[in-house]
Amino acid sequence: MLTGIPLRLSLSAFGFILAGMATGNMILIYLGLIPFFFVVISMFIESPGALSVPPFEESISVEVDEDLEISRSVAVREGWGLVTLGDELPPSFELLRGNNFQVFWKEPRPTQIELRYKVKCTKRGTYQLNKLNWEARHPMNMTPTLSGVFPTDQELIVKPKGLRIKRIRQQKIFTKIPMPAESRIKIGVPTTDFKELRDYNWGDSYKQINWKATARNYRGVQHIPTVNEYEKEGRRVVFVFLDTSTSLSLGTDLRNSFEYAVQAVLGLSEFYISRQCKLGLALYNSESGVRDVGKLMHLSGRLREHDQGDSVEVKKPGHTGIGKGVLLFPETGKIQQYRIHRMLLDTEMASTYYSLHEAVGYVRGHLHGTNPLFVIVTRVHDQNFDSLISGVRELTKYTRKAHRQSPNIMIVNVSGYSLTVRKRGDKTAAQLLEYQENAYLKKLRSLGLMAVNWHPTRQSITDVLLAQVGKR
Amino acid sequence: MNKHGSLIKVFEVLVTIGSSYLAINSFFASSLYDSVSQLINRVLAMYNIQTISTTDVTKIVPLMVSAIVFLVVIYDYAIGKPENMIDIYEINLVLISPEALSFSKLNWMNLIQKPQILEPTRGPATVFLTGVVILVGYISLLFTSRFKETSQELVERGADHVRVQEIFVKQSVLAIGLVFASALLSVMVYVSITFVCNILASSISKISYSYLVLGILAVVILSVTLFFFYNEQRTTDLSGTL
Repeated sequence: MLTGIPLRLSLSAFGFILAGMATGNMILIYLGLIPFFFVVISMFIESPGALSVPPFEESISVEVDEDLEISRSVAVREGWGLVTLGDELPPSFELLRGNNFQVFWKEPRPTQIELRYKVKCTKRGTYQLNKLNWEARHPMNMTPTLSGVFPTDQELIVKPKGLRIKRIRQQKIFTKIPMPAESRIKIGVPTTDFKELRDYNWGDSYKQINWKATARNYRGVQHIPTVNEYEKEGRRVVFVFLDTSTSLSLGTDLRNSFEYAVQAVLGLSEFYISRQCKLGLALYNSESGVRDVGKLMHLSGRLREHDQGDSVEVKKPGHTGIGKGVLLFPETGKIQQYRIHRMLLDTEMASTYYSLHEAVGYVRGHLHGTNPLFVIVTRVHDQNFDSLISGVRELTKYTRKAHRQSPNIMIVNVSGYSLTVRKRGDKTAAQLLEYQENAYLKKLRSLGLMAVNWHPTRQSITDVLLAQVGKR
Repeated sequence: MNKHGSLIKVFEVLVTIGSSYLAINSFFASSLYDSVSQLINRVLAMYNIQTISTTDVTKIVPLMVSAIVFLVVIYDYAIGKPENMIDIYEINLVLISPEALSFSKLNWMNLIQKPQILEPTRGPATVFLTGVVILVGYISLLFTSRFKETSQELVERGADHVRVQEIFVKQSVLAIGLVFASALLSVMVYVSITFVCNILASSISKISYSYLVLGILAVVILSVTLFFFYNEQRTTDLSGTL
């Protein structure tokens, strides 16, 4: 196929030659040869072709707000002209350097072209970088542009940010962050529940050695055997409840209370799992009084199904399932941490329509006899305060407390008003609303609950937790 | 814009002004213009129009025509679309036609018994080189304007402006190079045709047909070849591998 250019030039050439022949004019014939020669020479040049790409990395994993450098190398063996390469990026990605669409000049010799750019991954989730688009153009536009797609099938996992706290063992330092009541149990009888594989330590029984795993990981004579680690009896349990109501949508699409709430849950889960706690996670909706079930079902239906592990699909009587990935039963170890990561990766607002009270009802079978620590991550405001109190009352049924001891419940309030500040005057309004918020938190504290207030624009969740550390 | 980009711009300006100047010059040097100016003089004398002397008319008319032509050419160049480049070419072609046609072996003006309207006033090489400059200018400008459109499209799609500019320069240099190569080949044909004629004359003179018959035959063969070439291109690309 040819474009209109060679045809137009050929017609010009013919016009001159025919006119020259009709009038017996050699000058016109010689002039007609110029466009004719031009077309002939240009047609000898081929468009860039024989493009090939090496296989791409199957999966890339980064944290939210981390910079990611993407590089695509394409070999172009034939032709001469323009080649364009373009990667399709999710809309929530911020381009930092370079460009995901670029144009290259291909010389006659075989060339390796490289599309390189840097992006910031601003929103957690699993993204698919499915294709790399290419176009090849003739240098004189004599032939139509050729285009195609290289299937990349690359999965990009943007994980929420984890918690960066190291444990400091110092007797004079203590923390006010509550721990489960059974956290004093350091050792116990191993159960048959497999926890994880780890390196052999002095004192481990030979029976614990996993010979297959040791052989698989063998790295020479200095290699330490791998042993199976099993859960200990009397494991302390932490149950985290994450509010997925739209009241946490304060802020922008990328920076809102909900995103910070997810970050807080992840941070706390890492904190407790690293302290050998069994951790469970349940999603609830503090706006469950407003039951636009159809809308919520539609939203929940959009949740992507993923590797669930032990996560459970909760069904409400009289309704069909509300979507998978709203509940994780208490487990410990790296596997549980991975499950929590996967679940939070795809959690969106309004993922469920169960109130805190109802959510507790669904998990009560796993709470009996464990005396767990409950952590509720939400944004406290006048409309959800009553339902929060109702849920807390339900939770207190499952906590054994000694005389005059406060219930083992921590509420993390993700304050979002400062996220909405755009112009002058907004800040004052936000401060006024924060006073109201503080009043609610004070009420919660007066009930004996531990209420932590987090302003994401002013401090990190790590700072909030470190603020609970004091000296004896 | 980088150094090479500026050079391309300078080339475009020079070729536009140069080809337009040569075309205007060719028109005023032609016998057609001479005949037209004499006619105007006679008409003015016939109606006793005294306000403008006949000498002034022959000075003013070329100046007016030149000014109009240059204004149109500058306007078309400033707009810079491929269609406007074709306008420049068409204007220049119209202006050069009388002088080019004066070298025809078949003088159509004999039909009205006025062969002096189309008579050569300058040498054929001058006229041919004027035509070469006009065609070089036309093809170069046509392609640079198309490349500008492509560059604009790429920038709008998000490509880096600096890189697009670099590629535009490379593309334009290639196009201009090809145009000059084509012009050179044409000049070589023009120069060598005398020797080729001498060589072929002995064998061709034996053919009893008119040169027109041979010419038409050549054009028909060329047309058929081109038709098959285009057709082949189309079939190849429809079942293409890319």
